[in-house]
Amino acid sequence: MAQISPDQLTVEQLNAVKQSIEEDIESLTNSIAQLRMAASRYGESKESLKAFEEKNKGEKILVPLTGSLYVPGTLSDVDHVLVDIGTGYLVQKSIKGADDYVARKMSMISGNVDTLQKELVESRKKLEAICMMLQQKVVGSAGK
Amino acid sequence: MADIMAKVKQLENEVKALRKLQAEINGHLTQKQQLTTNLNENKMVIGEIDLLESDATVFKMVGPILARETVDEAKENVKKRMDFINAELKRIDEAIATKEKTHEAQKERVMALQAALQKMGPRAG
Repeated sequence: MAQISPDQLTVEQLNAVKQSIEEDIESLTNSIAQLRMAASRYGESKESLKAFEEKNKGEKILVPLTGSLYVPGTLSDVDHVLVDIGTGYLVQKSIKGADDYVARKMSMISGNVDTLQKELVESRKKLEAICMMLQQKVVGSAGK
Repeated sequence: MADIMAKVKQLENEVKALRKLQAEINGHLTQKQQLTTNLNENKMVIGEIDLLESDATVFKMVGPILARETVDEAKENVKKRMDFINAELKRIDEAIATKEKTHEAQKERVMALQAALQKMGPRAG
């Protein structure tokens, strides 16, 4: 960010910059929240993979046909699952493979969250600096 | 007096045109955003497919149907999609550049009209 001397900016300009930084902060906070929700959904998937054990083979399950209609069935294949990898593609994976996939996704998300957190901290620092500059300007002009 | 009215009307029209250009540019920017998101999703899919064994089972969702594909077919299809998206992105970038130039020119026209009106203003009272 270019260093601009606070004296060069008027109160209006400082307020405009302040608003822009506040919008950035809000957008970053939203993105972080969405990423955390996605991570928790992957966590749920990881948990449900645990149900695929040899001992559950042949167990009764309820299969969703629509959002509110389920039919009874039995768990026949405990070795494979279909994983949605995006853009309409599904891949058949072993339970271990699916587990690895979920772990990969979760680690990617946590990496992104860390990056965004760093930017959030930076933006908050900038906001503080601008607020201080604004206060100085207001106090300065009131004193005259 | 009629002179000023005419100039004010002209300014209104030019400002309207300026706003229209800005809206068009924003529309292009939204499209570009969507294409970029789509491109990123496809990059992730190719990444996952690359990790697969060559005999892995891949399904493509076509409406309500799951169609079986080989790993190579899937890779080909996703690559083709990415090429298409990149071409679209290039086209949109060019459209945005052209529109921005027109927008700049229009902005100059508006500012010139505003300056002219300022000069006429005080005399007419």
